[in-house]
This record gives sequence, C-alpha cells and structure tokens, in this order.
Amino acid sequence: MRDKKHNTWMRVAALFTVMLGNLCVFQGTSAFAITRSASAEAGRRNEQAVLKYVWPVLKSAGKVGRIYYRAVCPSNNPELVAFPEVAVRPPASNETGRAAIQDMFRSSEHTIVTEDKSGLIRIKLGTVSGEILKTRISTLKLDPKSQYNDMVAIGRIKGTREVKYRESELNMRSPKRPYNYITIQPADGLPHVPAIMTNITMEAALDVVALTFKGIVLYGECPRGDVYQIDFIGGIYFDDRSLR
Amino acid sequence: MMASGEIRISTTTMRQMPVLAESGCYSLCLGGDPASFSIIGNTNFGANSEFSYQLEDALGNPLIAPGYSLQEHLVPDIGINTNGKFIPLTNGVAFDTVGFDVGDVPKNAFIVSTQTFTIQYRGLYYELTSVFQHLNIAVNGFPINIVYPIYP
Repeated sequence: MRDKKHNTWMRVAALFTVMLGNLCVFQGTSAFAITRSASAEAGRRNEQAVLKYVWPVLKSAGKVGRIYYRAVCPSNNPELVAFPEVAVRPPASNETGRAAIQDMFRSSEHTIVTEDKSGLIRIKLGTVSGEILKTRISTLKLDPKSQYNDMVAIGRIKGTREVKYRESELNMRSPKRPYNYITIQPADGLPHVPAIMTNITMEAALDVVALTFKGIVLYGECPRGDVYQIDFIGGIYFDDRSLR
Repeated sequence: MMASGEIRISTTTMRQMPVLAESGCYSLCLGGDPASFSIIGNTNFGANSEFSYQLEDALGNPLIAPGYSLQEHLVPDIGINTNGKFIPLTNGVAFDTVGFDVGDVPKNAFIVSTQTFTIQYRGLYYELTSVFQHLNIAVNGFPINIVYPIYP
C-alpha cells in the first residue's frame, strides 16, 4: 500500500518536473543562478571559521551578537554575498565575553568589537556603510509565524514599506533567496518577538531578533554598496555540533 | 538502553513488520522511536507554500508525543533553511515553508534540493529513512513550490 502510494507520487512528480522543464525552455528563460559555487563554498567556510570561535564565547557568556561584514561579491554571481576571509584564532584562555572576542581578532585589521548595555556584542569586519539599517519603520507588525521564527521575522523587517522605499532610494537590494525552512509553531513558553513594534529602526528591530532568539544576526554588504544580506545563526535552537 | 548521542538507523526491514493492532498503536503513538515522515498537507500562500509532515514510527503509526525536535539536512545548502538547528515539533508535525518571500519572487528560477532528517528525542538521535525532493520554481515571476518523497 505504502509502496503503491510512493510510486504514484514519484510518477506525478517526475511528470510535473519534465513539464516545467519544458515550460522554461519554451519561455526562453535562463535559470536563476542559485548554486553552490566555489565562491559560495569559500564564503561558507570563512563564516564557519569565525563562528566556530565566536559562538561558544557568546553562548558561555550569555551574550548575543551582531556581525557586520564587507562581503565578497563576485561580478559573475549577482546573487552571492559571501563572507570574507578573516584572521581569527582562539582567544586567550583567561578571557571571556567581549575581551575574548577582541582577542580572537587581534591579528585582523579593520575589526571593531563593542558591547552595549543589553549585552549585545557588535563585531565589525571591514568597512560597511549600513545605511539601510538606519531606516525608521513606523509600525512593524509581525504575524505569529514571524514572531516565533528568526529568519521569517528578518524577512518581514526587510519587507516593510519603509525598508523597500529606502532600498530604492539607495539603489540597494538583497538577493532573492528560496526558503526551505522548518518553522516553529507558536506555543506558550517559546521565545518570540513582539507582535507590534513602533517607531523603530531596522537596526534596532534586528537587535530585538538577536536578543529574543539569543543568537547572532549577520549583516553583509557588497563593496559596491548595492547588495546586502541578513542572516541569523546560533541561538536557542542551534546544534553546536554543526560548527565542529 | 542506548547511550546518549548514539545514532539509530531505521531500516526497511523494520517497516515490513506486521502492523500492530490499534491497542498496540496506542502506546507507540504517544512516543515511540521515529522512523520516517509522511507528507500530510500543503497550504499554498502564493509566493510560498507550507508543507506539513507527520512523524511516524517504523510501522507507519503517527508519533504525536511532545519532545521530538527536528533537524533538516538540505543539499545543496542554499537559500534560507534550518540546517544546523533542532526545531521542536508540535504533535509530531513539522511545518516546512517552501518558496520565496512575498514580493521577492525571482523572474525565473529552477532550484532542486534534497532533504533528509535527524530527530532528537530523549537525548538520542534518529536518522529518518525519508528523503524528500524540493523544487523552488519561478516562471515569469509565477512561483511553483513542490515537495515530494523520493523515499518514504
């Protein structure tokens, strides 16, 4: 019974895939360039190399983070905002929190580490304008799905009328990336961001996401200043084994 | 009793065992060893769709107890996904948002990825047998998002 059901699924899916493939050919379209290129792989490795040291320090100190980086953006792949190679090494054993993180980047030029009163540690890797982050949002309304899921919340923040308007003013955009994202269902006791935030900057709204889900919000900006990308890593649902 | 961190791998042999009577299911349904996912629903929101997967044991009984959490392994690891996270399930059901943000659908896209799963339950890790294929498609800005099982 189960095999029969499975075979039916496979036939329908295969037929549908062929039909859509043909449709794309008929439309004369070029495939959307989202692939794991060598640059993308290098970016992922660079990001992991930094997070491998930063995340355990933040977690053990009960802190959260924001990382701003000047991205590597290959001209042949406009959808890629890759993490740069950064000189990072383990912190001295007697250091914790911000001091430990500063120590990790002691060999890295153009790196600034600061901490604010809320325990949020900001790491700036290279020069980024961050102009889009200053956008003020009059009312940010989040549905339950956005409230309980870090990247969905970030998507809503980026999708506000004010941010979209500011993007067009600055001639900026973020890559159109597909979601294949298992969402957390709203439930009592689970962390979530407020349903409504008013008169808040994009920067402050992203701080709320980092603080709520106790992770790191990354902001990458291309040197040309025309493309930016925001991600979330670490946090309460993070599997630390993935950084080994 | 298995040691913490040990991995159990469900096998097709276990699937071929005779189905238990309903009374037998009663105890298993509450919180047994997870083996696979079944796709039980799909809600289309336009730019994206939400697919729901029910966790099942090796005999196909739904597992609805609290305490299961899920890590997906999406290959290739592109776009926005939950690789590297363990997401708590509600009644053993996973909700997978597949597609694009509203207003962010590309003109044309054809992205194929393969999804496998690890379940964490009572300190143990279980590799599920299920393998799903994801298609994120856009044709002239019209999104089509599909998930189907390659292996149940």
